[in-house]
Amino acid sequence: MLDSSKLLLISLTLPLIGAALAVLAGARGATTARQSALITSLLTLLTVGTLVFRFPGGVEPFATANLSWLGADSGFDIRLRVGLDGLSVWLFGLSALLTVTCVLVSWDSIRQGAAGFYALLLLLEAGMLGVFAARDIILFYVCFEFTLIPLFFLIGIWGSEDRRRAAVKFFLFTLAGSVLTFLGLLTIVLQASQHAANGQLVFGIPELTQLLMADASHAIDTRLQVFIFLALFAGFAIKVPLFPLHTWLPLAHVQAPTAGSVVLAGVLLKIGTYGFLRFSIPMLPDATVRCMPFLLWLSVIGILYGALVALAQKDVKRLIAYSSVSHLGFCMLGLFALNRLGVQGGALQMINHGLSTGGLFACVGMIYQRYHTRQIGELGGMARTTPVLAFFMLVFTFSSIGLPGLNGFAGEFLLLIGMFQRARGVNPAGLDWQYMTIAVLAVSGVILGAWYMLLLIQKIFFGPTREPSSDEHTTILDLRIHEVAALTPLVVFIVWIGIRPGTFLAPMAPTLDQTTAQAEQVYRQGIIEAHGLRPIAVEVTRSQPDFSLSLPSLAHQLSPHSDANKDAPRR
Amino acid sequence: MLPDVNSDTFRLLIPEIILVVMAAWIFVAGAFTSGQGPWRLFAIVGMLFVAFALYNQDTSLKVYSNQPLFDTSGPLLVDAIGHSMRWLAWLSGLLLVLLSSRATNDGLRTEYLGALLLIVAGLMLSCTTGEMVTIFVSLELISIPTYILLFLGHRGASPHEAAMKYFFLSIASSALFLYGLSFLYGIAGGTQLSQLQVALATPGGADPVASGLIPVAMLLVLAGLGFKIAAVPFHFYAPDVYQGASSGNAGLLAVVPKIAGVLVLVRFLAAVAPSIAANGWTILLVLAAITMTVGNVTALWQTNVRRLMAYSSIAHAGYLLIGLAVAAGGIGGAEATSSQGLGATLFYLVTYVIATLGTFAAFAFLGNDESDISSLDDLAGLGTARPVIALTLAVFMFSLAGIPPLAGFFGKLSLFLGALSVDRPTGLSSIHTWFVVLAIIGALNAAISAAYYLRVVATMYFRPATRLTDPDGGLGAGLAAILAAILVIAVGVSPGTLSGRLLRASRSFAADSPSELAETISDIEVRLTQFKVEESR
Repeated sequence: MLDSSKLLLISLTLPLIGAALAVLAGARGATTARQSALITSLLTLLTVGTLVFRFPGGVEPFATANLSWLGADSGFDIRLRVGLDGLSVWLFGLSALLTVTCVLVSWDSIRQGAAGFYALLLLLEAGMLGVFAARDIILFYVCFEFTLIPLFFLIGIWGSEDRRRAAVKFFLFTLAGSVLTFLGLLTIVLQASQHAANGQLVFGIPELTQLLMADASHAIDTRLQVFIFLALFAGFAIKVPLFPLHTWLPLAHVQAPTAGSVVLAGVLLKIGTYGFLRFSIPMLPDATVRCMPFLLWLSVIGILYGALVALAQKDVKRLIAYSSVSHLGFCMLGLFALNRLGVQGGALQMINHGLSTGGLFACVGMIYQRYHTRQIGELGGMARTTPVLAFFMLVFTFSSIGLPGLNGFAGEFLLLIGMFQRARGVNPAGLDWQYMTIAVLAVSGVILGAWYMLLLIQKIFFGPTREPSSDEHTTILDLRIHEVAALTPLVVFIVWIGIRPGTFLAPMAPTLDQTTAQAEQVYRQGIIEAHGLRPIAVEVTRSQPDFSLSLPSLAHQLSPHSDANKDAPRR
Repeated sequence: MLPDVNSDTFRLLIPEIILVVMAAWIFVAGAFTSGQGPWRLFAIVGMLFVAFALYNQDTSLKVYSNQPLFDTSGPLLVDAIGHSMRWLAWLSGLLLVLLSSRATNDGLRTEYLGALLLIVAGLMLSCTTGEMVTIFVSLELISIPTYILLFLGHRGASPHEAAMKYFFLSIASSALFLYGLSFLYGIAGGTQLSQLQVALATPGGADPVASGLIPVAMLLVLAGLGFKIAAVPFHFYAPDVYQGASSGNAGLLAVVPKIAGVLVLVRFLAAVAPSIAANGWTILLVLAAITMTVGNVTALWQTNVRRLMAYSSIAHAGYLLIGLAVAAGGIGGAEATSSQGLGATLFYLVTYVIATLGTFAAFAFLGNDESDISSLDDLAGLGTARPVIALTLAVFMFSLAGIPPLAGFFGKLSLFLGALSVDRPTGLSSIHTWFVVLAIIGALNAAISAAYYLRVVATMYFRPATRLTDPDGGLGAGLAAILAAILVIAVGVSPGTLSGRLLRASRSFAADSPSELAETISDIEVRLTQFKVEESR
């Protein structure tokens, strides 16, 4: 048995080797290239899967490795620190899983320059895995930015008609935000390093968090925190994308090749939410609390705006792209509800959205490959011609609209409860109407979500058979074996998370609690002071969480009694 | 007091002497031979000898140990910074020799090569001297052969406008520079920069009235050198001259004066450091902000690749000035800040030089006898037609834009980290805010610059070929591009060694208190004696 650290390093290098192999194999033809890419991505999935399986839970980092990179005497002790923890472990697994899906859905559709395509896809995988495994702030940023290059080429070379503009817009939009993020991260490094023992600059993420949390006097000055928060916000919010910074997303999604859309929706958008969770919330608790209403409003506007615009779309891919804006709004809403249920729901919803929207984009790609159109008006009655495709699409849709029993329900339910809890929350004076409005509006977003998705399904899968007339397509075949293989694992996880969300929440929960503890405490402190109560040190006591989501346990978590115990300040 | 010239001087100058002798040989013997093949090989072999001589000095002088090595009485100064930059000069010389294999008419190729070697010699000399007259001479040794090169220029197209423009502006800037030197000479009472430093650092060492002229003198020096590094407002020549020059010459103009200008500016700043501590940084900061913004924003509208690269070169001058502003702003503050700013500038310079030379090498490779690559459209479809050279160009563009994990990213990392850490213990707390603003401007500029670098990449990969010409720039140019691309990736993957070396070199440079200086000088004398002993064996 390999030890986990080595396995992690292997899983990070495998895609790089695979990319080189794909290029070499490309000399012998496209078939060899895609076979080699499939083998590498499966091997990577195997190692990543083993790591995820071995992940013990708890707050301790897992499978850490700490290799020298720039060297101690280079002036910057930036190291190749990698490892997994509760925040990253599922996203790490999701990246590897979706890459396999991407390789399979591109099997037939990518004919020109296949070697280059698969090499870039594997490079992208390496970047994504690196983002989630990085425990060094600069390594994180390097991987964060590096993911832009392969996706830029994937969209620009293999995309649809307007691909050039889409690729450039995607790249520049994201870069414009992330250069500010970069400054924000550097400022965190400089601020935290003032408290470092030897005066050296500290670049390790856990070390930085520790330095900032170690002592109340170590926290960064609140005003500066807000500036840093806004700098980080610039990059992460564009990546998420949070309304009104989402304008690059529909274009990029529509123009990207199927694999690009899958990986963009499935993983790359999560880097934004992950960034908030990894840096903003734990390292800048005061600013997080100050900006919380602002972010919640943006999230809920995104939810409604994305849903309403999705209702009006005629292009399937655009519709799903806007649904992403809406769903990521839910994730952000959960994260910035800043209580346990909300954050857990938000974190779970990140995975859920990756699975369901990744699956939806894959299905749309398969439809496009058959009919050469993405126009809703030109399709109809596909449930009869392609029942298997219809089945998969339906599962992903149900997952996406939050049908109970599937994963979307678990995530949305948790985070909405979290939001309502926040609205009723710690405020001793009763309801906080602002948060209550946000929560109610968010619930209406769920209904809108069901509306546009079911409308889409009804139009293209049921009703009279309609096929684009002006097309040379031959007989329409249902899904082929490799396409089924691409979608089945996603469905398995969708059902699994839906039935037993606890299995997936449990490994994340302790780390999530730890991540938000500081911000939550600041929030309570603020409420206490705002209501002129005696400022007492509120001990954030945490009972052992129960993840079974059984009714009694939920009732326990929700009962006003326990809530009052937990939240209300003692007078 | 005039500097002593003795046998040590010549020994330290062996690399430059090799280059000048080679150049002379090529000029003379080239007139009697036809073709240029053997001469290029001769030049490359000569460059290897130069590398050997440099390496020899590295080890025998222990250049990279902590103290600078002044030859206190002679005109030369060998220290870690200068020596690192000599290596950079050597590297750019090698790439230039490679990439110019078809740069001019058959009949003039030996002249071209000879002039090129002289320029490299001048560049290396400028890195290894700390004496004002020698600095001026070395800069002229760069400029004068450059005029010739611009006239030898390119087949067909008329290079004369570019050459004349450059000639007149260069002369004017030299005059300003020289005028500034005359003030400094008056203040120091000698031509050595170390004399100036000591005079300013010791109380009563310099005439107080004369010392008041330091800002004027430094402004003149800055104007002269601003021309060399193409900083705003001395940048107007660059786009026109680059556009009129051949790819190889444009590459030379983008790189060689910049290395010399930055290094010489660093030396002058270090020499007058205490006198400009109060507000020297403001002017550098403003220049940096304006230069990069003007360069980047104007580059957005360019369709001619050499004009585009000219504005890119202006923008990068702005980034380089960030580091110098940090170095100036750090004087009197935390000890590490100054040296970090300097180290960042030098590191950035290295990454800029390699990527820019690589870009022009790729352009030179893609050109042919009838036409050079000039319009962006000439690059359309390159990704499929010429995958290797397109890949190298993409690497250079991403590196210049500062996208990780390429060399340029770490350059920007160290610059921004330097800018964000400028602070003074007392009094001037607003200085921190200013540098934060500078860092934000720099970061936004990085995003702006990505727009036009990306346009080059997008043109190569996302557009079908329209009018691809047959690349006929010679194998050497292609080789230079590939070599540069490998270096860009290597520095990006493992920047530690280089940045560490440059940082340490910069640290040794910040020896500004008189007692430290005296210590340094005595230490150097010891080491020089050792050097003599070793050499005589």
